[in-house]
This record gives sequence, structure tokens and C-alpha cells, in this order.
Amino acid sequence: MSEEQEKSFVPYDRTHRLRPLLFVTTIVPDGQAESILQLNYDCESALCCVCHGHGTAPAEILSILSVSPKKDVVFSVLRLEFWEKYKDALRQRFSVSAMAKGIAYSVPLDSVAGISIYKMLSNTRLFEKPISPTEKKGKKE
Amino acid sequence: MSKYECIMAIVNHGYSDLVMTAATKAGARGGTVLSARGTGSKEVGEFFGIRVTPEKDIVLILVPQEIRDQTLSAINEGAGMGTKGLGIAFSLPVADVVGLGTTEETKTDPKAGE
Repeated sequence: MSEEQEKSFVPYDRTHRLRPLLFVTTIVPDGQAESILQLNYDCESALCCVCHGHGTAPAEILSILSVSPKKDVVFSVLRLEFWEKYKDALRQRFSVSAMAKGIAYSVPLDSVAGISIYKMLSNTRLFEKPISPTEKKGKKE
Repeated sequence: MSKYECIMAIVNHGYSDLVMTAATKAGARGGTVLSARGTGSKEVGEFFGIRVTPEKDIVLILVPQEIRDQTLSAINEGAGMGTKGLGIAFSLPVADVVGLGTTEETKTDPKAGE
């Protein structure tokens, strides 16, 4: 980077309000990933990935309960502001019946590689605008 | 931050039971196994021009913070580099959890669903 470019470079977080992101893992019984994807869509998640896994409960217990060990694991990136909504929806879903039980947890994202990736992950590329000077003044006061 | 940690253990395919046996002894309740492929340069072989990557199992285990260290050391002992599992394990801080069935988690709105 040349000296001129260095002087003109202003970090993105100085001019824009950053929205914290969470990396969310949701583990549900096999075949239920679709509804979790829909839930993520409702929470404005821009990135979801479904993997197939299996639980580790002993086979005897599974046969007694007649539960399949197969699981759908959904990895997604959510904005922090949507986590409560997502959590409440999951809590309601998990309490419906034993067949709908699942688990979800979130890990905060520390950094992303580039502004465009951040905008994509936070799903803010269309409406995010620089902080206005009046807003900046209000912050200082 | 919540009081839980997510332990990720990466072992050779078929050795996830070693991880779970060790973790259960340390107090973990259960886990989820995902299939994956390793890309370590030493392990990638080539047979008749076809690149063969080793299959791996990733075990995700959610544990309370208090038993994180003992679970990690139990996994290292039971499925670590000194075993056939050739596993590595690490933990991630979990911000929040839902669905574990603890008293805090089971608090639901009594009017929900009406």
C-alpha cells in the first residue's frame, strides 16, 4: 500500500455501525433441517449449511426409545440481534414433542476476511449506510 | 457468555467411540459425530493417479465449563495422538445454548401455542 493510500484509508468500523455476528450450530433429528433453514431465513441469515451426522447414544437406548441416531446439523451465521428470536422459536419447537428435540448453541465471530464478506454474512449489503455526521455528534454527546 | 463450552474432537474415521468413551467418563452427556476428510499433506496419498484423502470423524460435545479441562485431557488420553484415533481436540467458548433441558432452558411461555 502506498503512503497516499495509507493516509486515505479509513477503517470500515469507523464509518459504519458494525453488527456482531454469531456462528450458530443447530442439531435436530434427521429430516428436520428444512424447518431450521426456514427459521434461519426468517432471522435474515445469509449463510446456512446442512451436514448429516449421528448421535452417540448407545444402540440399546435408541432401540428402546425407537429413536433414530441420525441427525441434521445446521451451521449458520446470524446477526446477534436475531438470536433471541431464533432461540425463542427453537425453544417452542423443541418443546412440542420428544421427536422434535434438538440443541443449538452460538459462538461469537471475532473477525471476517474483508468488508464484502462481512456485508454478505450480516446480510446488510443493501441497507447499510455510513453513520451520518449528526449521529456521530449524538454519540459524542 | 454461557457456562458451556463446545469441544471439537477430530479423529480418524471409526474412532469416535474412543472420544465418547473418554468424554463420558469425564462427565459429558452426549455428542454428535460428523464425517469429514483430512487435508494434512502427510496423510494424502495417491494411488494410480487418484488422490486419496483420509476420512475423519468430527465429534461435537457440549460440556459445562467446569468439566472442560478434564474432558479435554480425557479425550487426549483416550483418543489422542498416542492412540489409533490420532485425534486432536479443542474447545470453543459458547455464547448461549438452547435445548439442553436444564431448568433455565425449560422455562417456556405458558400461553405459547394458544
